[in-house]
Amino acid sequence: MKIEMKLVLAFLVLLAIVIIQMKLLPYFAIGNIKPDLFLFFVCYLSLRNEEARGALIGFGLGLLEDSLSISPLGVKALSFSLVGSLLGFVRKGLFWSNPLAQCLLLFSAGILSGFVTLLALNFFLIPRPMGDSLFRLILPESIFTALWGLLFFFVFQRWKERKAR
Amino acid sequence: MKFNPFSRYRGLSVLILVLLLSFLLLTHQVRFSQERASLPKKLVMTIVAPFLRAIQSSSAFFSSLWTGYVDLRYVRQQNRTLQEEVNRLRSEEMFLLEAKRENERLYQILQLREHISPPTIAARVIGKDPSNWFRSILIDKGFKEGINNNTAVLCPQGLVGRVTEVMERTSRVQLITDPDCAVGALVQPSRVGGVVVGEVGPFCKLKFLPQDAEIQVGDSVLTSGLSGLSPKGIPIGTVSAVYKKENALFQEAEVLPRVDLFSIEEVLVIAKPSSSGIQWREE
Repeated sequence: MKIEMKLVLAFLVLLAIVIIQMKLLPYFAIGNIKPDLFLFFVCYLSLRNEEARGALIGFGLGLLEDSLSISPLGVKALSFSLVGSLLGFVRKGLFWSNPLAQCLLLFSAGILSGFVTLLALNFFLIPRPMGDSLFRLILPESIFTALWGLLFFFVFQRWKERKAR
Repeated sequence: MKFNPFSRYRGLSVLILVLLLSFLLLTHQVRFSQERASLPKKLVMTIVAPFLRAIQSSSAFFSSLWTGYVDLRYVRQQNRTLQEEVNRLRSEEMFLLEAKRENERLYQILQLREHISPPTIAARVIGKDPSNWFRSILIDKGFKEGINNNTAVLCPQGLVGRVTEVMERTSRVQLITDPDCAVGALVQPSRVGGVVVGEVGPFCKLKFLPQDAEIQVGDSVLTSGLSGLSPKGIPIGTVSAVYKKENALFQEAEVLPRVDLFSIEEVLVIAKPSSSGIQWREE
């Protein structure tokens, strides 16, 4: 594929992520918590790349989410780059084609990202209560992302299979 | 083989670099809070906002199409011509219903506008915050239309939030349920003052209430106008629980916002920061 085509495709994918996250997923929110599609893509792409690329992908997608949010730039970039780098580092030792493994992986990534975000927010902004943040935000968000991620993993897998044929 | 420290520790070096960059970005923004949105935010919003706006304006069409499809899925196809007629009429009805609802909402906004003395700007909500950690909405009016930073945002039911980032054609509104949002408030029956702050959940908390104040569940909470951001007398919500500890300096109350912040579609922005009172008319 030509570089121009790749850039156009990347732009369209990013635009689709933004639109789905901002316009579609709020309708599926439970208790104001919606799944994080950006985190899913960080995990999905980091598992296919080495740690340096994982960190860069995480940083890029995190920065994009920060740009679209009221949050200061860098909060999600920080947590996603850590998640991306870690997944890129451990990917060879992981068996993640199984749906249960994918679910657990996304859940763990959600928990890690949530705690790093909480730390960054408590350090730079108004501190959030630990218990409330864990039970009303980090856990539900990680569960939703893991469950929705399964669907996306399935769709991408089918798409890859069809492409291989 | 030649030893190359960068290729050996490439993963670690890149990670340290991006973490450092994130820290620098965070410290820079916390240190220098900006009147207008930062350059990367402006750039991203300039690219994304037209798509969001286009989707918002076409959402009525698609939702009517979808509802029409769901409604018609189980109807037998006995008479094709008649079916097409029904289909068309239903689709039209959906359009009209949507238009009627929109008209009702806009009428309420217009009525509210007439009762507010400072100049106001009506705006549509075109996007919601992608992150669960923050509560904000994106509206389709920016500094070109006269929106200023730190101005109150209302809807016919009450206070929505305040403008925090102003771009050319869009603005970001921090909702009252955002954990970083604080609004000066008073409890209507007892006239006791406090501060309403956002929480992690869907509620707000009314803090710094004197221990001896009589606060009841169901009391209305209004803006006090003391923060200088929002005019006095705008409904914020109702007290849903009161937390009174014996040895604490202050008591706290849980406040359920009056506005359904999840499904809000149109808002009214006060053009300039104002703390003068307004005559709020109950629906």
